Amino acid sequence: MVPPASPAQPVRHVLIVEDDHKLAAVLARSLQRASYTCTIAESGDQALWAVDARPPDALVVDVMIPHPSGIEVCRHLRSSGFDGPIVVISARSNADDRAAAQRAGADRFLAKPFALAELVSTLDSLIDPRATS
Amino acid sequence: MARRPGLRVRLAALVAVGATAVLTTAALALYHDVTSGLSDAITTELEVRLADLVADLDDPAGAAATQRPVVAQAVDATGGVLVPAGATPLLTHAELAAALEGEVLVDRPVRGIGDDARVLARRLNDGNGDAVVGVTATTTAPLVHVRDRLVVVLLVGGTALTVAVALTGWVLAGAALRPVRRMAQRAQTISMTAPGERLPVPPGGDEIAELGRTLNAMLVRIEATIARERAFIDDASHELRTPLAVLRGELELATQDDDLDAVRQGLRSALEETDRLSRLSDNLLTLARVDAGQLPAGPVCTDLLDAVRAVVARIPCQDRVTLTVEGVHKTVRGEPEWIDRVVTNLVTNAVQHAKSKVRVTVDVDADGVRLTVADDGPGFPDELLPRAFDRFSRGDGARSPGGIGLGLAIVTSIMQALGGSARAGNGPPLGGARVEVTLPDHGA
Repeated sequence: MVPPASPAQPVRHVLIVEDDHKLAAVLARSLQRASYTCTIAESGDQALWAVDARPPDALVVDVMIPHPSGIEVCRHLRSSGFDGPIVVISARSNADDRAAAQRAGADRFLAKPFALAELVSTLDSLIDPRATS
Repeated sequence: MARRPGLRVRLAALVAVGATAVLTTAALALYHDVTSGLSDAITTELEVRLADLVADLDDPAGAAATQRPVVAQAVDATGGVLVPAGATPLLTHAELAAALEGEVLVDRPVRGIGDDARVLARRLNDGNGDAVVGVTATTTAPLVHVRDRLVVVLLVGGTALTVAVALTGWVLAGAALRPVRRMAQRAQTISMTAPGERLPVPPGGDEIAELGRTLNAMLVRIEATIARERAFIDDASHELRTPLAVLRGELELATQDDDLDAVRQGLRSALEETDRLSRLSDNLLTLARVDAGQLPAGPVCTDLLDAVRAVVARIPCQDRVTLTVEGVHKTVRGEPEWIDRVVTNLVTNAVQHAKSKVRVTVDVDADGVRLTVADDGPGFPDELLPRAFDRFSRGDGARSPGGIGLGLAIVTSIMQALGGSARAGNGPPLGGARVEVTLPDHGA
């Protein structure tokens, strides 16, 4: 069981960009249990709109999503000044895919299927490195 | 097993053997021509002197005084030398006997001339009608000398020429095969992990250039096939890993949840994902079987209209979509399992995207038996239509709500295996998507 956040801890908002509804829901439930609030975008366009409307503390982005791709979303956000953590998730996990994500500005790359606890700890460490050090 | 010599060595050897044959023939012809010409000249000289000998018989004193390069004698039937008187006979008894019968022409040593000499003896008649044999002899040393020299020249020159021709053949073969060697060297470095490399093709339109172009075209086809296979593996991996991620996530959350209803909900979701994985693995297995050629048309025939009705009867859509079936009974060649798979994929796809109507028609056109599945949904997106039958093809690469982009790929693969074809479009008869598959007609 993921322990609830302490009352003093600020609410952290994560944008999940994933077009598979069930996976997006599972990720959201997992993050909500770790005291994150979540918004789900099903496409690259929706993700960019969502970031404009409410900049999240972090993004979890699938690579293979409707236009533009997750890699393009990363690149666009970095070029437009977004400096929050971006975790790229993908079913394609070869070196080229990881390198492409890194070049686009992703902070971490998680290959599907991954442990939800790993996603939570990754986000925790990226958002507040001192808290997990 | 002995290794076969290289093509260059074989070409050079072939040239050498050919050159040797030609040169040997030419040398033998030359040798024969020169030596026979010289020999004939010597014999002619002997003949001329023999003719003079008749005059000498009338003037023995003049004959003795004449200095000629040809020795001549006239002997009687007993072997006595008449002209020049008192000289040692040139002929042996056997030669004399033979000459009295006709003519003797022999190469042998002659005293006073040397080891290389020719003797011509022929019966003549003197003015009294008595048998007289005219004998002439001369040296054949020039002939022997020329013959010996010719043998040396032809042997040495011919050998040198043969070697020169072989070397030339070696060099020319090397030059001709250099592009092949370059292609072989490049081919050793070409790897499918770094596609795009091509064999160096020499300029021009000769056979080697054509070979290079043909091999490069083959490389293009192989790379395209490998790229398609890689894309397929990537897509398959993606489609397998996503439900696995959901499955794992649901189970992970369930183990952390105290709420029994939430746990049940999570397990139901996990079950759905296992169904999704089962369908996917089933589809991938079907494609693998088709790709492996395990789908022969075979002798079994199926009534297409009956197959359609069987599929429609088990698809649960009657509350939302009106599904109509019409057409004629026509038999097509193919296992019922595969025909059923085609019809199921097409009808399921249409039902998923239809607003309210799906129409399935079986009829006959010029190409064979045609199955048309049409719906009144939004139709294929324009960007998807050209690759509607590609594997994992979906609008802008995302997952469609109802599938993973393998249904139509399986349809077209089965159609190709059964000798049929598949087409996709939008519009009539219902305004949405329309997919037609055509199979060879095997009667009613």
